[in-house]
Amino acid sequence: MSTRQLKSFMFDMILSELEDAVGKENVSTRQIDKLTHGVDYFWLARMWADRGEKLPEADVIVLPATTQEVSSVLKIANYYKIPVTTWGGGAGSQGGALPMTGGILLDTKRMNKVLAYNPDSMYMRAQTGAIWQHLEWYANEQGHSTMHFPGSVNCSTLGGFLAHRGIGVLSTKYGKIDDMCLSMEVVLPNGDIINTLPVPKHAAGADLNQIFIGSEGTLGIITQADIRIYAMPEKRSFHAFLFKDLTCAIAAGREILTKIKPSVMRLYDEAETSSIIKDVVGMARPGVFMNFALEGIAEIVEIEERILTEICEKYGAEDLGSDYGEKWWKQRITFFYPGHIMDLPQMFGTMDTIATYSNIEKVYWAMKEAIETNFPMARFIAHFSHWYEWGVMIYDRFIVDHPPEDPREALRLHNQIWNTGVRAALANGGVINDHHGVGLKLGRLMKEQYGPGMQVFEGLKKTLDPHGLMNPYKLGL
Amino acid sequence: MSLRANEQKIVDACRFCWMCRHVCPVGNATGQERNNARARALSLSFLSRGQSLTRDQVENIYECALCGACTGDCATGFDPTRFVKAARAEAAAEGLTPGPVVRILERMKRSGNPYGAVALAPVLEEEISSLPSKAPILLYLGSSARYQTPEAAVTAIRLLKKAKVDFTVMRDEPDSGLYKVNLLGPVAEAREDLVRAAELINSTGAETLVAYSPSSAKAFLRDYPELNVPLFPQIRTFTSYLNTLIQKGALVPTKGEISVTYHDPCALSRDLEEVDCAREILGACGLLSEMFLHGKDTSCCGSGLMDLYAPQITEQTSTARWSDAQRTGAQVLVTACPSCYTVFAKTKPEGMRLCSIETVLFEACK
Repeated sequence: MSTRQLKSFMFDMILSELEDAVGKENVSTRQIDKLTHGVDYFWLARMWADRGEKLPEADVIVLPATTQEVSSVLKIANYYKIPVTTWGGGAGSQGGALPMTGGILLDTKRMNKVLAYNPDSMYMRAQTGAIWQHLEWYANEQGHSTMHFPGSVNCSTLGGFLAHRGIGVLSTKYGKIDDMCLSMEVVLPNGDIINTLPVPKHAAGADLNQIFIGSEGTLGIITQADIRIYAMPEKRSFHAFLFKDLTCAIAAGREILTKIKPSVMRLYDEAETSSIIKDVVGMARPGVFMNFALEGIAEIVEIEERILTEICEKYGAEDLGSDYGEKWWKQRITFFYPGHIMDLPQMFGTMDTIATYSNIEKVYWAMKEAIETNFPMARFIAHFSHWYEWGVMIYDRFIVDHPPEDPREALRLHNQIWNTGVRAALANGGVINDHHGVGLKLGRLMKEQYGPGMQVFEGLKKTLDPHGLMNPYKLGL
Repeated sequence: MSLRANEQKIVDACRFCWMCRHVCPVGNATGQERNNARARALSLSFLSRGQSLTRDQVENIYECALCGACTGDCATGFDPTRFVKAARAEAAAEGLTPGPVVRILERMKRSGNPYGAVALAPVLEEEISSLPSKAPILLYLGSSARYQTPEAAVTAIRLLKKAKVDFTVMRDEPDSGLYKVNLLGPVAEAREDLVRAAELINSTGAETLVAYSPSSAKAFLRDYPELNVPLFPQIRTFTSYLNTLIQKGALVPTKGEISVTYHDPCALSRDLEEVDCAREILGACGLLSEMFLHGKDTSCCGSGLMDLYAPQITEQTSTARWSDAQRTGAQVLVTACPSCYTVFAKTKPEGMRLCSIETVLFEACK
């Protein structure tokens, strides 16, 4: 059913069915609810709102509280062929939660319960509408931590992080969200409720977890997940260094990961060292700033710190001690509050990508050159903040201080910059995105990334969601 | 409608920022996307883009407890409650104040208090009558204590008597006017109530005003000066005053076996930054188990004021706070605020006890 049909005489019939499924008070057609679900953290959506443009708008917002209610909603949607867009915190930067074709917007935030806490196996089971910070507080009450600290920890949901493959600042030691998830419950587009296997490691065929993690609501709705909890470290120690250039710092980072595993590894290019780091940490020196955290049993941390220092010194780094790192840790969320982060009228975007150590510098310089050459009005800044034994990601951003006033012109420039930057990454061994997801923003580039491989996703989509109702126009599906 | 530059600046900062979502007690309890500072700012941002204020928007503006958790969380220092109050003032000017709120205002006009009460409970009337008409210490009870928790107010008076404090309570105590400021925003009509209350309080000649309710203390210490309404007595919170009485030996509690958890009222802990006094009092009476969110990070019960016009929301917020309390293992939830007490009493789970702080202290001083 199209949006136009939805507005016809059948509208009230369908509305009453939805009310029957989730309760009258949990179904809304109020303008305030449509508006607040019409802008996420995507720059284009914010720009549209800023310019007073018409925003993406759902026909009806539903707030189920249980898996069964989600199932009921999807059965109704499937019968009437109504698009369904899932909204968790709405804090995604890729437009993944925007209801681009109207229909039903399913907000998960009433599904916010911790259902089980298992300290023996070190995981908790929660509904996916839970705000992550609340899960962290819950774990803290038991003396544990989730160890997942993304910038949006205050405002995003468990389901949102799973949907787009999120990551936190301690990822080098504890992994991404896809490493932290043991098992999930998913409601398929036809309303069937399925469970992935109870454990994440097995030889029982392909991994259902990893099919749905990152699927951005296009293949179903994740309603529950078992996520890992960790013991609080006896010691968390910060140590910062100033390297001469990126080459030395990346080489040091690579060698460090052959010997020890810091939790935080953050390397800022010269542009970020002289801007954001200067503003927030208060360090203004030429070179590239790199911050580490080591954590765990105090005795082991001390040994690791010695190894870390030896390697950094080998690559000519200046030891800046612990103060800068501790200051960064305390301020790590401050970066994302108004007045500290980029905001309109600026145009900006984070083109995070990832590549092997063999390719990462090529990717960085190719993206920087592509943006700065083709778009002289744009600044390019970057840091490298999630490290693996085989490679590292780049959190590279473009900023245009004075974008076109006309919203269509602004959209055109925005997409041109994105196309250029992402294509430069792809051409040099990078990927379309590291941890913000694809959403509406990058869907058009998915085929360029995957080539014939895209048919695997398309096949899944066609089988599970033959009418294309789940989160239309996202992930290029 | 247009907001003043200060409020507009906050709207523009908050309209795309969700960083305080996790601390909004209303949004957390309802799960509604519209119930957070970002949503309200976003909707108000359209007013400077040619749109008019609507009833739908205004209803959402009133779904805010004004607890200040968002303000406390903001790393930049923005205060979203400012644009909420400003929008309420604009709504009133445009005749868009929601019906249930209008009815509270009518009750205030008729009876001088938001509950429409015309007489005190006899037990409180009697207790007040036993006090001298003038004294250096003025115990200001506030409307919520006078009309909603008279038993607790009686205990408060008896506790001060036990400590041999030379104090009085005004027979015809004026409402502090805070509720009207919160309902209507900082408009002239609301300020007039504050001026009238200040004149009556000043005429008592009291040297010190002990505000029983944290909301009243907040009004006297923050809102009155902000609206340039002079008050002559020195203002003390009830908890800080009780703590002083313990320290001076005027009250001597015996430490018992009781295990309690303490809910910090927002006005006391966040606005007035007083978190230790209640803890010292309770520490002298028994064992205190802290909720994870406590002190300045307290989570609002939902507010006694909002309970008057949106009880369906405060039912959800106070239920969530009871869950926090239950997870501590304590069997008693103590609060130092009559409004919080009233809200919590409606959702008290089986097996838990709700107690006002003066009751705990009174029992420990027997």
